[in-house]
Amino acid sequence: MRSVCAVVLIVMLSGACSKAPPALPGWLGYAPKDNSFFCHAPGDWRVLEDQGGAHKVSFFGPAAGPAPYSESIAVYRHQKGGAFATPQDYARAQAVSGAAIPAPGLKLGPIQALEFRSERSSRSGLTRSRSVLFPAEDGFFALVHTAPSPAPPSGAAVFDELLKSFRIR
Amino acid sequence: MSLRRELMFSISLLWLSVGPALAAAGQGAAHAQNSPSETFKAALGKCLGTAKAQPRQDDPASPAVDLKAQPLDPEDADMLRLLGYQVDALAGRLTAPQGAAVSTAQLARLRGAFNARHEYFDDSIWTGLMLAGFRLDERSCHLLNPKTKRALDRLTAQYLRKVYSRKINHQALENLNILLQSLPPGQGLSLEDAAAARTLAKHAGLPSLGKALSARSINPEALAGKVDAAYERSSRFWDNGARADASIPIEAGAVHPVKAPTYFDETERVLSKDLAHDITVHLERNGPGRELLAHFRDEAGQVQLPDVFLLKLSQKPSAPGQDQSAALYHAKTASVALNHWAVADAVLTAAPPDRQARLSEQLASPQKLGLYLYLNAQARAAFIARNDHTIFHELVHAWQAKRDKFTVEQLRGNIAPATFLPNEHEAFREESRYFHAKLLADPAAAAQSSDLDSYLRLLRDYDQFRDDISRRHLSHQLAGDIQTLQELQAARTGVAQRLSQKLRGLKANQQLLRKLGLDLGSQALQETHQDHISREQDFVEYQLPKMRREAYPKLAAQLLKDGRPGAALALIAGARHKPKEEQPLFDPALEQKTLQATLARLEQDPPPPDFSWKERIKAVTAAAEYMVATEYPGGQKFADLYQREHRNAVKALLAEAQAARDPDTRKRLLDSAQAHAGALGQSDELEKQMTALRRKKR
Repeated sequence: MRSVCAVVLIVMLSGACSKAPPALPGWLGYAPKDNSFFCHAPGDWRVLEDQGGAHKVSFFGPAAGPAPYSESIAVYRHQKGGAFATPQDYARAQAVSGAAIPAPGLKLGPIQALEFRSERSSRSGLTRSRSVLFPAEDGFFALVHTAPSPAPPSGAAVFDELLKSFRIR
Repeated sequence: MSLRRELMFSISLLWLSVGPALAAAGQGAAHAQNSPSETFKAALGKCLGTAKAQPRQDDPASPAVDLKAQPLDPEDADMLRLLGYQVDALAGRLTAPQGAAVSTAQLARLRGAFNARHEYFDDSIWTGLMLAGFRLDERSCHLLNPKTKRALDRLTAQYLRKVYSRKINHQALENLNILLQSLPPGQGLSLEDAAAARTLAKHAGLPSLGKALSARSINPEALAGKVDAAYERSSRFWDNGARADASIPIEAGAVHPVKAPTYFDETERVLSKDLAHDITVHLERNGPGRELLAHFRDEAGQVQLPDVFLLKLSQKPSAPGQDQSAALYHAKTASVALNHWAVADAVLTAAPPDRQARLSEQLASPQKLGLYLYLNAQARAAFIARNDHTIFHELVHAWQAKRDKFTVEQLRGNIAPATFLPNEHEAFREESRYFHAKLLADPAAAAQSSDLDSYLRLLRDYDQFRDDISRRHLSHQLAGDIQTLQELQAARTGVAQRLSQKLRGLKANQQLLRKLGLDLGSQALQETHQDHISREQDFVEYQLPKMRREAYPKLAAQLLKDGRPGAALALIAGARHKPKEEQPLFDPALEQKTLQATLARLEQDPPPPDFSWKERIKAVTAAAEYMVATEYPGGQKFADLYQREHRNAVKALLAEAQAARDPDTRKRLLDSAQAHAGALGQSDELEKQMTALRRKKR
């Protein structure tokens, strides 16, 4: 599995980091191949890119601890004409699917984000997700942090930090 | 290949063989991982590695081993050397890693039988042993060799542990190589890279390199040479041992593993045939099941499923909360292994309560359980019915191994032993098609199934479903997508290329052969990747919309019939968020009936005991969503209902937050309460209460 280190290097070389806010120690800048956004991610988390559909990237971590790589932070780019027209549609579809609860929203600069949390039982146990939706010119981005429950997610702070660095390009 | 080499091979490939099964834990996870009840404890047996052994003192008067008088078996000598012993046949001395001469008593203890009552094997090694044909004798707690029927000794046990740790070292070395190769030439290491490289050096068993990495001035090229050399030594260990033929180009058209499975005895062989037959009969009832079976038909049209084993895949059942595989596909022997623990659980659960205790004592060993299954067709059918998804999933892996060259190249060592995530995505997708067919045939059973949530997750958001699968695999094993595996291939090929130029003679030729093998692996990887792209495209564009159109109306009607109108309405309302051409057509009468039933249930005061506040919130959200989408006039009555349910939710969450001792849990509960409070408008009293709770220390 590739680590963020291996993937991020391309970004650093292409100079995409020039506008990046300062990263925490051990964190690196990340931009996808289409350069549609930028964010920071921990250097030792693992990366999967472009898995199909709206998927852009997923970071898997934490690298150490009692449950390594059991949490993920995924970024989806939903464009107009796709499965969900607006962030509201997406959030409502999640809410109506049963387990989503809207949370107090946060802002990305002047952009108001939509946020909700959900719990889901799957065959491997209970998982908890926090989704943050950022509207963009041609659709929206959904950032989803998922962690096994009931253990407190150690990646919650990582997600907060990643959100702070998230920039739509 | 000797049995020891086979064992090493099995363990080296364990990531590969156990991986899919762990991921496919499925019903195994749901059914087999539960903590055993008192009734079922007898079925655990006594060979759990937990009993305390009597402390033993070696006789101090025992003389030193004289290898001249009693020469070592060459395989024993090899194992001892790997464990750090000095074997000096000429001088007749055997010296322990710490430097002392080994006494006859100490060597006798090493050659004594491994006793699973006191001694424990890591799951990975245990599974490897079982797949290589070893079986546990429940009376003596010895592990019996399939060929000699003699007990596995402690020396081999220690050797296998060492081999497994070297496997971990090898993977770390490989990652270190990739990291160093990815760095820009001519530049020093960044702090982050140095930290990552130090961690890998530690896992690779290269402490001196770790120290060197602390000096920032060191350049990556200088390190790459040292890592290359270590990697070459490590590769040689694997190539000379487990993968002597790893680099030999495959025969044209040969894509099947050739190793026949090893049956320990006649019962195993007969039971395997019976189980394969029963699985075939079960899968024949279902469209995707028949499709899958068709891939195993021979020229005469007979289904030839892989052999089926009943094995204890771990020394003891997993702790609650850990994945426990009900079955796995073992590519090397092209066989499916059913996990004793899952089978015993299914058989005991299905037995009449008054027989469970007695049966539990009887079925402690796989041999006895095997015999019971052989004699009891009903018990076999019960297990298969309960675990058909997992078995189906593993047979998809068997089909993958049959149809493409990926698996065989991986077995040859020409592709890194990592789980290829697209193989897993496909197996889970196919499993969902299997469930879909079951749902269409019997919606009542499907609506009660523990697999329903996972299936609905796929219908609602396939992107996130796929990510869930990736996360589950990454948290358990070495796994990767095409990019990861290609990078590994490139790193391995690069090392082989460089070493073939650096080394001389036979070693250089070995590296050239290795590179040739890796090229074949890369080609197989690329072909499999292309195949997966077209299979997934077909699923997303054709199968998935069709499944949505067929499943939602059927399931909504069933849920309504089962007295769960809120869940039915959630399906109806949720389906409206799909693109128009994918939206299922619901009978308008069903929609109305579902809405009215949901409202009637919500209006009950007090609410029915089986209608929790969480369920009521789901129902009221579905009703609101449906009304907005269809412009249905809810009126003040519904607005009051909506407020009431959110008020109840806030109340319940605040009570939970008040009782919560963990600050993270309290914060999460308060955030949820605040979200529900958003539906109620401004309330100073509520704000005050929440602020007080947020400040609460304990």
